[in-house]
Amino acid sequence: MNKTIRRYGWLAFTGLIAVTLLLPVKARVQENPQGMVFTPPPPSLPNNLNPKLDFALQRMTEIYAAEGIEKVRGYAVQHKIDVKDDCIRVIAETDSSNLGNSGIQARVSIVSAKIEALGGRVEMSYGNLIQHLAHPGIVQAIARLPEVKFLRLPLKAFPTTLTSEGVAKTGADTWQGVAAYRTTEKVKVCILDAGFQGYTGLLGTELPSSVTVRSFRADGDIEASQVHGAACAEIVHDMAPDADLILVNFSTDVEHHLAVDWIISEGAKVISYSMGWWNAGDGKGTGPICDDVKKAYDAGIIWCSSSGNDAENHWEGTFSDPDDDGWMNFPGSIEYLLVYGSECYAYMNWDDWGTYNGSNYSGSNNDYNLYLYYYSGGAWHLIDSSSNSQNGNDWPTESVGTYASGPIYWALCVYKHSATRNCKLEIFTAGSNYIYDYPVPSGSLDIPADSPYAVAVGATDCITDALHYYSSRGPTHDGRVKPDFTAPSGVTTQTYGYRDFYGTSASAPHMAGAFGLILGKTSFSTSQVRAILERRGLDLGSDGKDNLYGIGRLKLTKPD
Amino acid sequence: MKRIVGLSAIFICFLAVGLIAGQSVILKVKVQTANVRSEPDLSSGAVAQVKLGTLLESTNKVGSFYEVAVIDKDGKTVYGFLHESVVDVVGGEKEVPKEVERAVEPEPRAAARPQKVEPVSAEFKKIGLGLFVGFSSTSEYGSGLAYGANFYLGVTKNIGLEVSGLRFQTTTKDSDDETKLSKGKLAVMPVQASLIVRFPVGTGVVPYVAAGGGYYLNSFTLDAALVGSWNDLGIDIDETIDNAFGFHFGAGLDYFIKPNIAIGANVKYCLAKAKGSWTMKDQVSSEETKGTLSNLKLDGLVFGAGLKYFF
Repeated sequence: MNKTIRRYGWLAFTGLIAVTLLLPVKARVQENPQGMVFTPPPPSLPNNLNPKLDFALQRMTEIYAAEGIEKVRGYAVQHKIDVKDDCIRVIAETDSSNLGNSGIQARVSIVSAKIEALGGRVEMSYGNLIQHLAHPGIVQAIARLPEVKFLRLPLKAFPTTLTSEGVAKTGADTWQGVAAYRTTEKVKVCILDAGFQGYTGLLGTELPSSVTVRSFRADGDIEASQVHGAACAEIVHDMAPDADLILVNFSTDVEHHLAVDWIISEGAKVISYSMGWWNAGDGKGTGPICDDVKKAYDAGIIWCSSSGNDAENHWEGTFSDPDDDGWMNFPGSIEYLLVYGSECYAYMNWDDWGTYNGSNYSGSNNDYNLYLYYYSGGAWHLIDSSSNSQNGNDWPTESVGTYASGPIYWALCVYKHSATRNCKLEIFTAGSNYIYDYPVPSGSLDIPADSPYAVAVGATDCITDALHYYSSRGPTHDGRVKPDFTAPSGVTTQTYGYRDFYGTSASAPHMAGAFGLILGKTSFSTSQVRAILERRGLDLGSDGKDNLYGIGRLKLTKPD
Repeated sequence: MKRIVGLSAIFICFLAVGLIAGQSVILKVKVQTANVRSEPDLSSGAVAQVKLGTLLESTNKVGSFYEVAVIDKDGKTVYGFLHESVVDVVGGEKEVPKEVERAVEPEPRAAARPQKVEPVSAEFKKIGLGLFVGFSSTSEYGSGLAYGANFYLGVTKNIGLEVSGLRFQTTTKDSDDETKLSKGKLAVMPVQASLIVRFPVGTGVVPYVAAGGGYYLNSFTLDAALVGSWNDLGIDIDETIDNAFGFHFGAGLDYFIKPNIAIGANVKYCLAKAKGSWTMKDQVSSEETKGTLSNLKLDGLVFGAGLKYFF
């Protein structure tokens, strides 16, 4: 290994000279990582892993037992885990095999009662999922309930934001000037997001004078200290000023399912979705979040989903370990993925999801673990790890994360704990960071942009039409070309200011607004409007639909 | 609704005017023997004589003479004139006693005294042709110029059939009502057959009422600016209206300025419902959406004034 380190040192030095010349300005001003090469030590797994318990929950119960609730609070803050009154928000997956809907409901009622009896507080349920608050002291007890198949943290979606010149750029202004023909329907466009802080101050100016709001968060907070949704709603209103807006927010996957059911019942025609999920599906358009998209599609709703901002926050490749030490060798002998930024939240999954039966995956029996190191004082320090058990029926996912006081280097290391084959791994890094070496932009779509029923939208500059570097790209894991379109980003909103709303988060509402605008002016169906827009898109990049621009940049006017 | 109530009132008024204009008077001979003269002139010869107390009906007065019809000694109906000094007016038509000797149909009289009485309103008109202009006021689509022609075929003095061709055009407005036509030009050309009931009066005025049905030849052209604005977006729009059957009723008034030439005015309320369709097609993708317009109401009033020539 020492030889390898010395050889890599020279290679790294030579490579860095070249990379320094080739890297964009942003990268070249960063600290040179030369000399930070290291080999992660053999991992140590915690004892007595409960296979029915999410690794982070297991860790929190151990921390609670050893160091008390204060340390649990610190761990929760570090990992952005919802904690309320010292209780962790968790999801209990009840065993629903061989049960019909009524059987599942009965089981959920029984398990909910048992959770309450143990001291937990049930917030809501959806299908076989029970969202509740549990003190770390009772988490193990809940996991031991025979009807509980798995106890986990909620899946979390993240705003794909990095403010609208896009109206004129896309030609929406010319449509706005035409009176509706043969329709008087007010189109309902829903902005499904994390939060709408400040939306009331925008009513009557940046937003319609009245909007419908509904929070599916357990705390019912529609603002949720996040302005992201308000900015997205601004763009939808800019594009489709006559549309009725419905602002809906959520926090967890269970809340997401309930929200989508409600949106369908409200008669929405379009959903603007500037959110993305990782580790919530196999990247082939299946999984619980993609199911929500299909459900909306079946109800005649067009779902405009941001493709993600992860082109530089994505890596994927087949597990390789030529030195047979258990650690993944990223290019060459480098056994870590170098990340730079003030925080590093990483989500890893691999191609061993099994089959999806409409509610869950059959699961993985190839077990890989994920470790996070940070560089300080000339040495690497382990800061977090994730060692979920994959023994045949578990999701092939791991996640780690924490933050620092400023930008530093992070190293992500992957260890093959037990695997019958070398799986194809995929890692997303979330937060203020980017993968220094070696991002793989291809296939960097967030979920549910991979859904065949979603209109996935990438980001192009609102002035130059250049693809924004961060815009997630296709293909999907089953080889379909994505995104479907690109739309303007880097636009102006009241919420974010002059040309300061960047990200595919800004692009998706342009797309949703375009649908809302045309549906409000004509009697075309949602699928017809999609076909119309597909024929009018401004082809950028290579001829035809491609994995960077889709069919091209959103354009409502007829070809010149 | 107000329009229909108003229409009904106008129709009733026309009927009333017709009846009043045609009311006769009842005369009672007040001398032992009165001469019925061939002309309204004391120097003309007597065609018959009537006795004291005879009641007669007259629907026309020329100068100081009442025109009457009497049965002569041979049992034939003869027409002539009684001087007003030999009769008393004892009442109107409703008070006619059973023994009144009524005037008979004018045809034999016309044969007996052709072209002697002016004007000629009470004469039986067999065939007539007319032209008229006016305006239409529809319940749904505003008002516009109307014009047309008609052909009249008399069956009796009071009954006739008329076939008319009419055309009126209106400019439709923008509307949020999806059941109506969009902004554009609507042209309606009803070909109508009517039963005419005439109430000729002796002063040359012939009020009449009419009712019937027709086939409405319709056309619609979308507003050019509207079509243009969508075309600028690469979208073709089109809208059509089908032909339809309809009904109508109305009233009019002819005034004979010459024995065979009348000027007149009429009002007619038309009831018709047509179907239509619309399409919207994207020029780029050929995606098309379309719909039907199942209840296009063409109801409206048509006012006209014109000239008729009778053969």
